[in-house]
Formats: sequence, structure tokens, C-alpha cells
Amino acid sequence: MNSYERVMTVLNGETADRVPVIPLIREWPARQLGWSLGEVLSSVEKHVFSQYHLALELDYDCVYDLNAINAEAEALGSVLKDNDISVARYAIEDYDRDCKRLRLLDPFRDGRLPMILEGIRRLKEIAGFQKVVVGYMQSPFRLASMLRGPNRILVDCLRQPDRVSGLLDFCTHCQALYGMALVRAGADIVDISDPLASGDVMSREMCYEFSLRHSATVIGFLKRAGAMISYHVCGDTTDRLDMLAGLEVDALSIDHKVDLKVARERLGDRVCLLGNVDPELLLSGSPEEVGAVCQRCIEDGGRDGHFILSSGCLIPADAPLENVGAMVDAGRNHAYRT
Amino acid sequence: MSLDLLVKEVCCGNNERAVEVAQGVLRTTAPARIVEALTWGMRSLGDRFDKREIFIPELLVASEAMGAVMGVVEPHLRQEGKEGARTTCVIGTVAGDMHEIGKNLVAMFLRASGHQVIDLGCDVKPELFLEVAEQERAHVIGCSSLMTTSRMEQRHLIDLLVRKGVREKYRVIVGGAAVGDRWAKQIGADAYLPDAFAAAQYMNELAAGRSV
Repeated sequence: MNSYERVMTVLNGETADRVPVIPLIREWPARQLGWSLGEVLSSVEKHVFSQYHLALELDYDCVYDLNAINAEAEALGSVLKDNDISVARYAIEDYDRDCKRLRLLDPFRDGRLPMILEGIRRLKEIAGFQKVVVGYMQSPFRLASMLRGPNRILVDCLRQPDRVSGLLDFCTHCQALYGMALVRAGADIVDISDPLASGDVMSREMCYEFSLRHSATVIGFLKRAGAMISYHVCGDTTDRLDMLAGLEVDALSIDHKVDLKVARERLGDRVCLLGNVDPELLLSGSPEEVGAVCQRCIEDGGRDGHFILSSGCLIPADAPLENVGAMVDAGRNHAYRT
Repeated sequence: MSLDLLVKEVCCGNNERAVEVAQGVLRTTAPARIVEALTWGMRSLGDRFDKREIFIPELLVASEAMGAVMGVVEPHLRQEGKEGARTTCVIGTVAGDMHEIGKNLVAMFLRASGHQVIDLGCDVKPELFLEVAEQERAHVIGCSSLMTTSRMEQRHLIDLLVRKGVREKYRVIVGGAAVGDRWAKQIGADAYLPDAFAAAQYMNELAAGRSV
């Protein structure tokens, strides 16, 4: 099996030749080549080259688009800091004044979205059906939080829930559009990120009402279009694994704070689990320590398959090559009997 | 109007009602006693947060209400000379990191406890932390890192303070999901503080001249 076949086999609930490995990466490949995040933000070529080069060098199973750079929020009016990805000014300071200015995003014209789509097209051209191409998007709630500010929207959920719901309806429409553009550009998997939905931030009730309910709409839309979906929530989601499984995505990307054994016991074979090596370990541990933790992840979450070895969250740009290599080796060395 | 009602309104995040109750309570209760009761109330919230009975949004609205009430109570504390030594803290999320919820909570709690806080926001370079700390004659620099990719900036800040010969001038406190006690010791920080309550307690102890 090649990487693409391996990942798709596992996502379809069947037994692959070995454990696939999809590290959650953004500028980590570029840093291995001496390039900064700023350089790949301004060069599709550098981003595409670095992603594919490292995927070949270490032989993991994916390439990623230029992800988690607040591109959707920027396209809708939030202002990012110069040559950076953090928000300097949020688009919605005043609901009455600023919501009137919102227009559905155009993935082919607005902000950096066309550049991201071009990157996916080129990655698909190079990777073909050898490596999976992962396209990233924010969940509607994440997008809303980067339009309004994470603190303020969390307060708004309590004080102005109707305003938040209105904004979320808009963000749901936008992300359905953007997700389709990712698929049409060539993304094999759409990875939806929802950093605020964990038990570290909000209650189950709030998570459903303001996040998962809207994510489910986008997921349903994209699934009908034939997309494979993975869903990532940063932080501890142990108390709401059932709700995440209810999204009926193809893979749940689990952060290191969740015990994979517990996740597998609770969810059974209902969904493919993706995770969950601590990024801190990948940054500052030894290859041997990384290998040992990966073994445990495979034992706990992937003994019977339906599992993709990954990091619990984004791999730090300075993580040593040999540590990510140790993660890939752990997957490669775990063959399944077919 | 009672202290219990005031604490309840603050903990529920009812800003306007809390201020109204505070104004009533001030007529019959010493401001220092009010602050003591509110501090106890916030600590109880912290316990409930640890047990996952409440979450970040509830903490945020309670912090806002606390800040609103302290705006009413503080002038009375000053009048009585009970303001206590205030510490000044420069706080921010380190360079390359845009997470700020926890840092904002810390800033709110510190202000609510009567400390002066200069919040530099997110993506703050070490040089800016130092520049503002010097300008404001801060006692403490607080830097938050929510990502393993950014926590090295906390080390860079301490290295900068050492290079400039001003390390002893400032207490450096670190926090955020990417760090812990071990990391704090490794980089030579003065303390790792896991949450806003610990930060407020640390600053209160510092202000009172007690060893922390």
C-alpha cells in the first residue's frame, strides 16, 4: 500500500498494512529547510516544496496546506499583524455596526485564501494519489471567535447568545463555502479545527449549542460533497467524546490530554482516532521516549486498527527531525495482520 | 443588601446589580471586609472551576463583575488608608503566541485584587516586556505561553533581563498550558502560576511583603 491507500483504507474502517502516520504540521517542514513561517506565508513554492520534501524524506503519509493562519478571519475583516498570523484587530468590535459589513467570503478572491487553495492544487498535483493532501479550516465557532475575539465571544455566549447565534449562522455559511473550495482544489481530507470546544474552556451544553451544532451543518454539507473529514479539538475532550463522535466525521483528532485507551473504550470502533503524542515530547524528548509513547498510543488506540498515529496538536517548528522520525518509525514498524 | 448577596451577584457576573449591592453594603461594612469576602468568593469559583462545575465563560463574567465592584470599593479603601501596597505587573502572551484567554483572566483578577496591571496583549517580544516594565517601574513581569512552539520566548525574556543586568529588579512569573513547574525552574523563572487565582495570591503575598 502507498500512503494514500493506507490512510483511506483506515478511514474507511478497514485494515491497512501498518499504522498510518499523519503528523499535525504547519511550518515544521519549512523549518527543517531553514525557512521561517514568514517565508512560507509569502511563498506558495516554499510551502509546497517543504511539505512534500519532508513527507518523502521521513515517509509519513500526508502533506498539509498552509494551515491555522487565521486566513478565513482575515478574509472577513479581522486584521492580522504584519508578516504574522495573530490578530491585531478583530472584525466585530460592535455587533450593530460591524455585522452589517460582513459579506460571505469568496475563497477565490479574499485575503490569503486563493494562495492557500493554490498550495493545495500544487500539492495534489505533486502528491497525486501517493500521499493524502490535508486541507485545514476553522470550525464556525473558531471563526466567530477570531472575528470577535476569543474572550469576548465566550462572554457573549452568556450575555448575548442571540448575537452569537446570528454570527455563527453567517460563519457556518462561510465555512461550508470554504470547505467546498478546499475539496475542489484537491484536499483529500478536510481537517476542521475547533480549539475552544474542549472541557478546558466550556461546558458540554455550551459546546453543543455554540460549536458542535454548527460544525455538524458544515460537516453534513461537505460529506454530501464526498469529502473525508477529520475534527480536531485542542485540550481535554474526555467528557464529550460521545458528542464529537456524534458529528460522524471520518477521524477524531485527539489532543494529548485525553487518554486514548479511555477514548477507544468509550467510542469502540465507531470512529477512526487520530493522535495523540504530546507535542512537548516531540519538541524536547528523546527519540527513544517518543518511540515508547507512540507504542503506547498504538496499543491504547490502534491495536485493532481504525487508528492513525499523530501528534496531539501542532508539532512545534523546532521539534528535532529525529523525533518526528521516531514517530514515523513507530507507525511503520506496527504491521497489521490482514 | 448583604455581603452574601454581593458575593453571589459578583460570582454570577451580574455587573450592574453587583455594583448596586456594593454601594449599599459600603454604607454598613468596612471596605477591607468587602474585599476579603469577594476574594473568598472568587476562590470558591476557582474550586468550582477545578471541579468543572463552571468554565471559562463563567469565570470571565465573574471577573468583569469583580472589576466593576472594585471600581466602587477601591476609592473607599484609599480613603481609609487600607489600600495596601500595590504591585505593578506587566503581563502579556509571548511572541508568536496569540492565545490570551488565560492571560486576560489573570489581568482581570489582579486588577480586581487591587494591583496595577499593564496588559501588553499577545505576541509580545521580550524587549517590549522589559521596556514597559522599566517605564512603569513594575515589580513583576508575567508572561504566558499556550503553545510549546512559543514557550522558548519565556526563556528569551529571562536571558534578556540577565544580559541587561536587571534580572534582580523583576519577579518573572510564567503561566500557560505549555509550561509547568519544571519548565519554570529550567529557565530560571521565579514562579509558575497555574491559574488566575494562584497569580492573585502570589501578587497579594508579594504586596504584603511576605516571602513567595
